[in-house]
Amino acid sequence: MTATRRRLGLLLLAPGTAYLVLAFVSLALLLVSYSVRTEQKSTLFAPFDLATWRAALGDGYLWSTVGTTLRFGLLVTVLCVLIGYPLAWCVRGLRRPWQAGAMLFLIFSPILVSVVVRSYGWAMLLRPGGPLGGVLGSWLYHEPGVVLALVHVELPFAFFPILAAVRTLPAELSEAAADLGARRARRFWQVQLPLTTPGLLSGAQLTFTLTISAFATPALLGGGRVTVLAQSIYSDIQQLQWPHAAVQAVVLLVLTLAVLAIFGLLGRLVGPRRPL
Amino acid sequence: MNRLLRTVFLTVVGLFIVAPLVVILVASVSTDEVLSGLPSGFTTRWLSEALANEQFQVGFAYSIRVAAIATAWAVVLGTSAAYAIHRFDVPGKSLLRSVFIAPLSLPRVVAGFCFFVLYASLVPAAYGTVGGVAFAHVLLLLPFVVSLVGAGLANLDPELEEAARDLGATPWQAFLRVTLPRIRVSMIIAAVFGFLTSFDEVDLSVFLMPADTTTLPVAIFLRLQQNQDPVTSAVSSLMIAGSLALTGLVALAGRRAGLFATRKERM
Repeated sequence: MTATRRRLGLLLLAPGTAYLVLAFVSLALLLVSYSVRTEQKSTLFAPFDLATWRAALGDGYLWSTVGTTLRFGLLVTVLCVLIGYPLAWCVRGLRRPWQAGAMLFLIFSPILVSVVVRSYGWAMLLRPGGPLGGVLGSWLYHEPGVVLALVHVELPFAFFPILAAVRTLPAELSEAAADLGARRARRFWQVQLPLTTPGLLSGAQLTFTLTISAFATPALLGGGRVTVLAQSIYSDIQQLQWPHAAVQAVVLLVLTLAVLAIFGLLGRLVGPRRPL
Repeated sequence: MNRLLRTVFLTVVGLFIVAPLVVILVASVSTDEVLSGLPSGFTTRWLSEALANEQFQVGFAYSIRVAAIATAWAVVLGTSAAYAIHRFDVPGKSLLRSVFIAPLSLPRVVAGFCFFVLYASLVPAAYGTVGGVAFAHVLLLLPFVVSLVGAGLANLDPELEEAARDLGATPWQAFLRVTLPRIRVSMIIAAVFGFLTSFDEVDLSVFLMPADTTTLPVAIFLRLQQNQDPVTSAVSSLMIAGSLALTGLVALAGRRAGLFATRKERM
């Protein structure tokens, strides 16, 4: 009986796992195999060659693109956390269920709308003659405009993990701290903030990894003047420079994994604390 | 004072969130070619032009088919995987769970590039086809299905199904009659969210189709790189309305089915 159930379980798992293995393994192999070839005629069996890697790494262009990508990642993450953290406390403080529900739907709703549409909305707001064009006119097709639109796109991803942490924080802890004489600021820094840091970190991690791989928003609001890795990969493909695109895709993947690892490490540093 | 501050903050953030969506909605029914403030008049011209636009019609049909196929695949693969992980004695459960969630961290552009190279060099027949794009989208949707259905299964007592089997039901009958009705809601949420994700996807899809036959968002993206006009606003408005209507319908149906009762308690 248990043997048949085990076999049944493996049978149920097989299609999904086969799909993932096929996708992951074939994609990883193709990615790496293309990055170590110089042949441009898209054959799989061009000779092994590190010239593309050497040329790309020695090229200032790749490094400036990586710099822009990481700068956006950092800026957008910091801004999203600075907005998302107080936002989570405000939403927690809403007592009437319909108010909280409406606010949650409002914050979630952009996720339901295509990134292209949202970015287009910012382009319309910012363009000369547009509603914000007078005040922030110089932002479109420059970095501030890209950052603004990216914050809009990624804010929900920062907010919801933070909210989960803030919401499950028992009110009794702050009350106990208050009873022991801790003032508001001290209660925040020594009780509330440390206990919600894991949520804050996972929100920041999600925002950072999503931002450094964002494509449509920088493409539409950067207007070709601001280039991130994702755009560079896309334009390389259009110019049939697949090996160079593959190198940049590997770099983007490595950056993403590095960000995940760094946040994982930070999470472990703040995670299992001694009980208060 | 504190409450005032909170209200002001929530209002500012709320305005920030809705501003880009509102400007599109307003521009799509305004007589002005370029919107600068309040619209000077109201027209449905752009909306009807968008509805009559052949490129958008083709894109819409393409998107619907891709999203339907990708969602169906992802729900079947993801539900059976989640069921196996939660209910069967399979080795490496936690590893399996993280493997199924892993595609979430994979940059979509990298996935798009890899699928492009895969199709271009090994399966040329898949490039630009509904099936090829849908196959790639399954990668994005699997994590939603596995985690949502997994959460549904985790809230469910496995003894219910065992009881059904003890009473003589086959495993398949026990699943269909006992478990499936109770994880139906999680599956529907996963399916709707997956459908919208696939329908709206750009970062990955843009690599997988030639410029003349694309999904709707990619068609909009390519058009926006050339120029911006009220017709694009109109089709964007229709997309916003469609997403919100679909979500609203599901939320309403879910409320009737008592879906949000437990969530409210937790709040």
